Amino acid sequence: MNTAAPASALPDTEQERPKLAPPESRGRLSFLRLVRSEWIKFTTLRSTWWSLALVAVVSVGLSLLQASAIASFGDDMPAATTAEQANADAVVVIVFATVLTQLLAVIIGTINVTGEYSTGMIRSTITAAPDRIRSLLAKALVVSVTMFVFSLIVFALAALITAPILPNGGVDFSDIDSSLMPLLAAALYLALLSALGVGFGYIIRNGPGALAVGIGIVFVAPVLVLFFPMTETFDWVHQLASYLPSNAGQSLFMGSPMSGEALDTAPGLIAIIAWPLAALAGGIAVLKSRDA
Amino acid sequence: MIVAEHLTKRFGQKQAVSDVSFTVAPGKVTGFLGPNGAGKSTTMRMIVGLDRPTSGSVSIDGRSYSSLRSPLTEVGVLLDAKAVHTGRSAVNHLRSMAATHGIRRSRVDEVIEITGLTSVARKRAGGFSLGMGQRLGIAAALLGDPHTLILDEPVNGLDPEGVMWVRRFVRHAASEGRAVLLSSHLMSEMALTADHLIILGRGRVLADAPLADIVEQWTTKSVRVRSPRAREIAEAAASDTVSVTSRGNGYLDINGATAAEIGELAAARSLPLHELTPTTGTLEDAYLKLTGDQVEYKTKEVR
Ligand SMILES: Nc1ncnc2c1ncn2[C@@H]1O[C@H](COP(=O)(O)OP(=O)(O)OP(=O)(O)O)[C@@H](O)[C@H]1O
Ligand SMILES: [Mg+2]
Repeated sequence: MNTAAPASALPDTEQERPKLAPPESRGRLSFLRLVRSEWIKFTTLRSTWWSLALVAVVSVGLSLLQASAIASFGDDMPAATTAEQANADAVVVIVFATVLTQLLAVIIGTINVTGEYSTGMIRSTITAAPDRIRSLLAKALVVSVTMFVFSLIVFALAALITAPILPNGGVDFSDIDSSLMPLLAAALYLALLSALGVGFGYIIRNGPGALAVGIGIVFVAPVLVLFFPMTETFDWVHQLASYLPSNAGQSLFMGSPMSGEALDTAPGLIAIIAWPLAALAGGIAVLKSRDA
Repeated sequence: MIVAEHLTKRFGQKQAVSDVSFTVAPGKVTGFLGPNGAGKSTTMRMIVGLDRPTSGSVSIDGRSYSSLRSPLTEVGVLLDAKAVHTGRSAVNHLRSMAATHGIRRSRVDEVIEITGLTSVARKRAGGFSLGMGQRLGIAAALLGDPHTLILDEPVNGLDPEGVMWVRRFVRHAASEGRAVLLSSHLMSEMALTADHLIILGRGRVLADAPLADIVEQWTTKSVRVRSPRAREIAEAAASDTVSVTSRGNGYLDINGATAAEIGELAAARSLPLHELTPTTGTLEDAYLKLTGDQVEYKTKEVR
């Protein structure tokens, strides 16, 4: 270390006590500053960029594949009867990839937290913001807002690229309800899933464990439901399954979910918001009560 | 100023810290000593709110750590375990910490330079050597130029130059009126650095006193004498209060008399002295005596 610097600054006698400046003159904790700190942390890890790049590649790639498949049917495809139908088809091509990117969203949220636990970084985070809750909220905010904006950019890209291929043309943004709204809903969905991942990360702390739970709820559960026969005995399973995050999300922006029944807009929105809220509330409870 | 009152921490069945009370005063370096597992790190984690005390409380300048409005500029902490994301570079780690308090960017460069990290600042912390990681931890503790420093084994893994730097740094910090709590297992280093000592054993305070008092109280002063006529000196000096141990080769260790008394005694009898050295015990002697039966993880004697 630089031996010269502190030595030269040594006062002549130990009696000579310079008055120390008040601590808050050098900086003070605030929520906005925590958001800034979380943003720096988020953008300075390679894993963030890899995951986001993967989201972009998977999303645009699958949209392209889907569009090409539709185009190859060519004239066999019935021409869309209404502009709304044509729009719905074009939008599904774009948001179809969320079946996979939803997992990446959960993973991005989860490892953002569990990476801090596995490396010990969480101790630095908590000593800097000892009330703990604000740093959790800042983290959830940074991850989900980034996910929202990034998803919109990726959707725009996919829309641009697939428009020339689709036989009925690309998304017509003049009808907002059938174009912009489902895209916004899909971006919101991915953002909320990343917040869900943050919540699971804080509750479980261990990376593989948190990922297993997150992927289980988002990806495995809706598939498992398909194994239940569609009889009256198991009707409740299918009813409940409609409120799984992925099913509720797909109701919103693809019209039909993988399993369960399609929900209306309001219950669908409430479902996809309630899941991450519950997970974050659980995360706060664990973070506040357990030693770091 | 750190004030701990009846701090107790239990991990399941294990009582890591039991009813520990102490004060770390500003303007002094307070050394925190104790055998492995004595509870030093646990106590430090409780001070900064990472571990919740099972009972008791601790405050910093009168407030609990979690209620501080600008914790980083009031308290600087270096923990025993790593507290840095291995995938992030040193400079980005420090930037992210500084950002939480709006600490200016130039301060980040300052602490990097002070701790000698300039050449590796842009490398990922995961690849750092033990000493480099330690320097990064110290840099983070210094970011807010805090009034209170809590350093858990700061010299662990540092090279001699780094060890000396830490010593001078904490002495200087204390001279400016800061409160410093510092743990270490290096007794010789502690003897040079600390003004005051708190010694823990199995989670309890064994001693809490100025360094000089502890050494004085727990070691015996003796005088080493060398003379070709050692036997005669031994016979003349020995009494109810003075004990003499012969070390052979004309050497004697005399307890209970001062060097002056022995010198005069020898002169009165015309006994030649080739050496007359008052020796005081070291902190290490005092520490080993104090903690002798408090060591939980005892090593086997080497034969
Ligand atoms: N999270 C934990 N869970 C269970 N036991 C713990 C935990 N943290 C510490 N302990 C136990 O508490 C005791 C005190 O540990 P601590 O790390 O405070 O000791 P220390 O004085 O810092 O030791 P060292 O000199 O080795 O650093 C030990 O017996 C340790 O095993
Ligand atoms: Mg320790």
